[in-house]
Amino acid sequence: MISERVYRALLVAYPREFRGEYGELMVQFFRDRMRCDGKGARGLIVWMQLISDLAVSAFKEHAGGYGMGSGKPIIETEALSKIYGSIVAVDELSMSVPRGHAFGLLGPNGSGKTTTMGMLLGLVQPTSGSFSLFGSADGLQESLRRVGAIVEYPSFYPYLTGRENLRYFQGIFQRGEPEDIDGLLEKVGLAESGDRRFSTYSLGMKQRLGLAFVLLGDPELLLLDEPTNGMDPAGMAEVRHLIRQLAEDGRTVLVASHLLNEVEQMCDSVVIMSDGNLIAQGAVSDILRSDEHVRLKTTDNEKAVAILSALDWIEEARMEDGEVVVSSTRDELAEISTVLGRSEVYVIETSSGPGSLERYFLEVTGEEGNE
Amino acid sequence: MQHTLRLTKWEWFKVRRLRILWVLLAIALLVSQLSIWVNYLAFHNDDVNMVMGGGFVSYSVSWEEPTPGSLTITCSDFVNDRMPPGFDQLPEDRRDEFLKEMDSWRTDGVCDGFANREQLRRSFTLPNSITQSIAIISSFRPIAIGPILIMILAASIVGSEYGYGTLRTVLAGGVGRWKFLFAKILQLVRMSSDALVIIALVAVASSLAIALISTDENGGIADSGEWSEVVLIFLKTVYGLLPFIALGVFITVLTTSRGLGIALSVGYFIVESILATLLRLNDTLTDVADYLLIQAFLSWTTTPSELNSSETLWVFVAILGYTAALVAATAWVFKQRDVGGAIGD
Repeated sequence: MISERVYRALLVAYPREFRGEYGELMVQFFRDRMRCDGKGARGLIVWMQLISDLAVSAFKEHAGGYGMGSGKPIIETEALSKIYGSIVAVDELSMSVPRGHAFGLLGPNGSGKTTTMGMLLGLVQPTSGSFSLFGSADGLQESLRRVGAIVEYPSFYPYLTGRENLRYFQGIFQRGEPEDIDGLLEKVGLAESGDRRFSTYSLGMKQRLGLAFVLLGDPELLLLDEPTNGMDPAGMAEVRHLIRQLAEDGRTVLVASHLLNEVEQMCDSVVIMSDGNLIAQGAVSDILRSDEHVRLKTTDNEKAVAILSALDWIEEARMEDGEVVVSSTRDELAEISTVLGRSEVYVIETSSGPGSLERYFLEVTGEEGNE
Repeated sequence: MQHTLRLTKWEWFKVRRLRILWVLLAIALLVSQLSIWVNYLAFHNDDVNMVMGGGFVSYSVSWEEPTPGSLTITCSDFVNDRMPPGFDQLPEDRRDEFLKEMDSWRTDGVCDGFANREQLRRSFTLPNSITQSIAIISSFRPIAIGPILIMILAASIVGSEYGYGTLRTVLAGGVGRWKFLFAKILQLVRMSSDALVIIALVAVASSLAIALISTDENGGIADSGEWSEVVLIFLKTVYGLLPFIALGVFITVLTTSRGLGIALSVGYFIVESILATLLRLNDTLTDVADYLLIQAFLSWTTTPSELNSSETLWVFVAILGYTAALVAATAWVFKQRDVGGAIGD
């Protein structure tokens, strides 16, 4: 008999690690336990590998249907457009959302975020273009069964209690079991008020019920539109934590929010939209890195700006509040100082700041900040 | 289909908590009970019977010879073949005059609106009490109360999904548009048939109550009558209400508003009544008027039926056609439309 430990090792190892450490272990195992010689054991393993490869390739063929193994993005849009009369709400949007990420959808009001979500959920008919969920060719309805979504704000039946609303949607979506509802209400902090009518809920409580709703049946993909809207600071922190947790557990969360600081804390990647167009997309860490800067006080700030602007490895140098702000990291400070010193401009004081998603957002959307 | 039926079940889970459902049922029950209790009162009170029959119609004769006397006959006596007291003392010449007047009553149908006691009795005893209480719901004049109530309910149930924005929540979860729509229509059909069953059960309870409180020889719970009539009027009414359910849903989906759905549904009754009147002014278009939705429904559900077998078939087909066309149009509009958030209506 194969021991549990070895069996698990085989499962983990096979077939990718076959030729490595586990492969040798397997050879040893077959030689010892099945009394094969080394050659026989290897032959046996080769046969097993062939069978396994067949099984794996068969699985890969259908993996898309299970949202696994295919490596395709969980959401992919291709030149997706929505036009209302003369208004272009979404203009040939092509984006892809990788699996297992918290993904932010940013944009000013009217930028097309909600329309995009509406199209992904089959609520809004695209004028042109296409999209896929889970990289699957299955019908949209089938895909939506694996999605939990709240668009704009949570809409429930006001004359039903929170618990009844969840029960109703659980019933029509066929997601999970009735016993799950208590756990969900507890998870979102509504255990005490689950039996109150939805019409008596505050905006924050409605948002919490919305979160419980999207978690019904533990969907793989969550689409959340302004999930912390109307919540108190503690509630917002809880939701941020919950969303991070969901992404860490392997679910994909697409969050549309105007709270840039919140998205910065919650999301791994973002898409920034403006006037229906995608204007930037990338990992939050990359964006923050690109927005890193150092601030300098020099003996001649204007000359410093001119010198640094001329360098091809400095993206931007500008005057701000009597200081020179350089798009650069602290690591490059010594080199900057050297370059300036050669032109007899000397650095008096330095400071550096982290990148800010808000600053980046305002810059790429051309919006004016409040400050 | 299984999924649609499951949605229908869950639709009830939700709809049963809507107050309007119970208000409309109460109105339907109230109207249905009218046929039983008003007839019961009329049965025991000629004054009520006379009011129902169109007023106090009577004829009086007086004489001096051989002894002074007088008598008065009313419709109540007339339709029940009951001669008033003193008829035996009526002189020969005056008797001829009296009988001649009665002949003219008969010819002119003076007392046609005045129900005879047997008719009245049948209205509150089983099984006719059930037939009457269902029939009055479907064709209560001057308005067809049943169709109006079911259209208000349809507009409320469908319109509230737009009003609360819950349609978006439902569809975003992968529930097919057509399935959701058909589940609603099926639930409305079920609710209309359930309401008729409740009306029938309350009619039975009323007949039983009347039997218990009637102490005279005219009491009793059951009378001669066909139970098959009950089944027939039930089936005909359920079938006849189908196009109104479809119309209520169609108008609401088209306007995406509960308020407009109700207003336009009721408005349709007024428009169709005017149209029917105008069409009937023209000899060649009179037949068209008979197949307008409400007119077809009224002639379909009138009991006893005034239609011959050929007309019955055509009215059946007309109702089916209206239902199919409205459901198809609703499904098409529902499929095409983008779904937005709550509109607060």
